[in-house]
Amino acid sequence: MAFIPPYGVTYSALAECAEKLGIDCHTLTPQELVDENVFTAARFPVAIYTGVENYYRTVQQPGDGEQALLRYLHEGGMLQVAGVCHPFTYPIDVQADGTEKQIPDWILFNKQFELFLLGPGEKTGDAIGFETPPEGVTLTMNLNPSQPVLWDFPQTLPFPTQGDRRYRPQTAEGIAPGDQFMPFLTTKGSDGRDYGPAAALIQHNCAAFKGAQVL
Amino acid sequence: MWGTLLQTDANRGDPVAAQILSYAVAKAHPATAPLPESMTVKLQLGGFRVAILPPDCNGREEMIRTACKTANADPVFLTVPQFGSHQVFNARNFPVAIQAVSDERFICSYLVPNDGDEALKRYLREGGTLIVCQHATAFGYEMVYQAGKWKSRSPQRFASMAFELGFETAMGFEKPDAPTSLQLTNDGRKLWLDLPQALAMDYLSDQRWRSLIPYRSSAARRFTPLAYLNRPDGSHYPGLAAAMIDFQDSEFGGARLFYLWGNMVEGTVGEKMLAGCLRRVQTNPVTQFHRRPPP
Repeated sequence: MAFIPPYGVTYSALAECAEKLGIDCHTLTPQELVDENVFTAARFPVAIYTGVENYYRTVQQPGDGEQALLRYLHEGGMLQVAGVCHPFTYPIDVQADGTEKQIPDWILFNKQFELFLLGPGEKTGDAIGFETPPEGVTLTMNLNPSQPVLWDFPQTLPFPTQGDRRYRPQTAEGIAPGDQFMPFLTTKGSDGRDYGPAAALIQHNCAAFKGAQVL
Repeated sequence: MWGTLLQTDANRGDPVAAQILSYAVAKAHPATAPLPESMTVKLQLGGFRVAILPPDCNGREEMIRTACKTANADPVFLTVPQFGSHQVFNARNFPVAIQAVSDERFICSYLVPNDGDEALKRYLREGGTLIVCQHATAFGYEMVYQAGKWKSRSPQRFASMAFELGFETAMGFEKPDAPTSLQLTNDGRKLWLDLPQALAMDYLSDQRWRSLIPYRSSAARRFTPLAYLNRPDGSHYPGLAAAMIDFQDSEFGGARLFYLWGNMVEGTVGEKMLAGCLRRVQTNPVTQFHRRPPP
């Protein structure tokens, strides 16, 4: 497995867990991320993102960070996205002098590989994003009984009362025909509304990313 | 996966992390290409490797290489990512690590806050031997990687990093009033048979004296003084110039730490000092691996 930069608050939990499981993990530098001879699906069948909304857009050449991730998915890799809030929103551009510039513009690079997430107040037929849980509504996270990922998890779980509660659910709207979208943990409200998946799996069959998976 | 879930009680004991990682192992395509040679970091057991810790040891690389060669040790100058990687930097791969930084800094945080601290503590918990010989005050300033840049800062912690690693130093002087010399203790003489007694400290390029505060040996650690810094009249300056600490019944039980006043570890004298420490580790290896075994 490859942990891809940048690294955020979930990195430690996943890296330590991977070590306990005996998984051969490597924490890539930005330079290794964009090196076509290093970051490939053949070498690293699984890539894990733990950033907090940001991602490397440019490391050595304009856009090479984005291209590295798209190339990886094109090769059929599995990308696990486990960052808080809205992953792949803000780009980081490495400057000529080697320093990194955090760009404040919303780029939403995640859309390029069909990871459609809803921001605060955004709404689709199957999901609603929010900054804080709606007042007066009790939220419950429900496990999809037919999902293949979490085999030992409660069927229902109260929505977290602590931590970063900004909710950016995933939506199936926009997924290419033929790609499979499998939500496996979905938040529902006591108001009868569906607040959308907190976790889902996309299995790509589209030409661009055939065989790739995004969790 | 909404990352917040990994930080809630739902993941206490890592069940969520373990399940999504296990799913990936089971369902991802198998790897069909080997890692690049530069990333094949799982070193074979055996041999006597010495990790020289980042960020640098400017100007002392050759001295360290020569000392290692004398002691039949294999020096590996670690990069910061290698230092932070437990797969690379652990006590099994490297029975000895040398902190020979050219100034008072140390790697505090790289990928996540305090992962540098943790790498050092983990190494000692595994029973490694750490030789500290950086210039002036060891572990004096924290190096933190933020927004693509390394920044140095005063320590932002209750106890110093040195204290957390089991030793303390004191500010002695910036420049001595009179010529100084090194006096070895009996244990120091056994360690450094090839050093003269007393050794004139006239070769130092940096004279700032930072002494080790002597601890009384206890059940937690055995403290072995190795050398004092003397005035011309033969009296000691307060504190020690070198000592060996064997950790016993404590968090770092089984580990060992050599403190050498870094300024004296230069040139041929520095070679002999480091080689003596390395020989000591070879002839008296740490066998009591403790708590958390390396991968």
